[in-house]
Amino acid sequence: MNGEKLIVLPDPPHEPPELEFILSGCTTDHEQKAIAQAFHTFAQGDPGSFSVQFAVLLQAHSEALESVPERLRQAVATEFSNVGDLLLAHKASVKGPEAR
Amino acid sequence: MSEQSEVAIEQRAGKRRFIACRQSTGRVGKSTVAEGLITWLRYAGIEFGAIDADSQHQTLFHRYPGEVGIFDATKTFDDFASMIQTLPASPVILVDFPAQATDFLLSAAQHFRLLEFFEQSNVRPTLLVFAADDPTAKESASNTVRFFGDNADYLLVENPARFKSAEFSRTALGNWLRQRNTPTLRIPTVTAVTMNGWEALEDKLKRYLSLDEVCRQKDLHELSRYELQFLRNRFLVQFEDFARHLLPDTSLIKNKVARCRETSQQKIDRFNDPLLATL
Repeated sequence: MNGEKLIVLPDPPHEPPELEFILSGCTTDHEQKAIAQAFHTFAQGDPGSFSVQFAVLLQAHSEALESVPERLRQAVATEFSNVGDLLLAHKASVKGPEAR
Repeated sequence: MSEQSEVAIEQRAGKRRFIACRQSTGRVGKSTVAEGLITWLRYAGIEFGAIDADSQHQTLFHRYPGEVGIFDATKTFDDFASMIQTLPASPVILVDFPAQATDFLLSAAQHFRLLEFFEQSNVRPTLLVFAADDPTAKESASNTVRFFGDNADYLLVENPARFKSAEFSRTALGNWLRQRNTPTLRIPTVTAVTMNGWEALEDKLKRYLSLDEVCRQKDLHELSRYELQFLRNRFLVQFEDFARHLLPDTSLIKNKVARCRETSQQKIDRFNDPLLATL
């Protein structure tokens, strides 16, 4: 064995992010195919029509949701940092008399 | 469709397109398709001339009075000759023929050597074939294709709400059309409630409403509006997809429809497929 992969499977095809987001809730291939087909059918046509505008809104939502984990991580990191500072200060004040 | 056949269609398209919307049986969605085509031509900003030759219903003429002329060309050869001689000079000409006129139209076309006339005038015909399973429709379609053969392009129409197409697709004619990569237009189902609502609104307003107009009418229930918007969108998308069969030149399209980003399909290379390699 020289470590070379014998079978290189192609990457799965990528759907638009908003559709990937919806499809993540599907459990079967059949469900995924049905939803993907419906999505592609509804999201094409006159940009002024309801279904296409809805698809645009869905896209905007999914793009906004994509940044949520990072924003959440930053918010939690800031809070932890504040609490940590507070704990350190408290610890130092408690330790103070013993040191003396 | 292969790129080669797409190019071939474009090369023989001529300078003008004559689109004939015809069918031997009624109530198959013939005028609906013609209306959808007009909706797309207007949306895409393509200059066209349309003739409503269905003097009994005159649906198109009433809904698009400024853009559709009326001409009953299916009574006598004189009428037919007058219509052909006065065809609009637009790059796209659409004629909505009445039901049960196929025999007359083919006789007139033969009498006036329509194929030669079209070739000399640089006009390429496109014929709409309704893929219905009933014997009359199949016979009408086969007579039409027998006459025009490869001198025309075709567009198959399926309307699951009105007729079945399984038997049609298994006929020799279905096979002939498939071999020529004939595209298939599918008309989405629209509920009777919505169609009745559209007509009721026309009665209330005492004027006819085009598909574009009715989609914007707040007086129509919003569910019906969304249903008609979906019908309109499906027409816009499909006609744009089949533009090479409908236009003399696809660069005439000034306004294209919005498209969702499509899935990138991986091409299967069977010669180098690792799963099929011999060890």
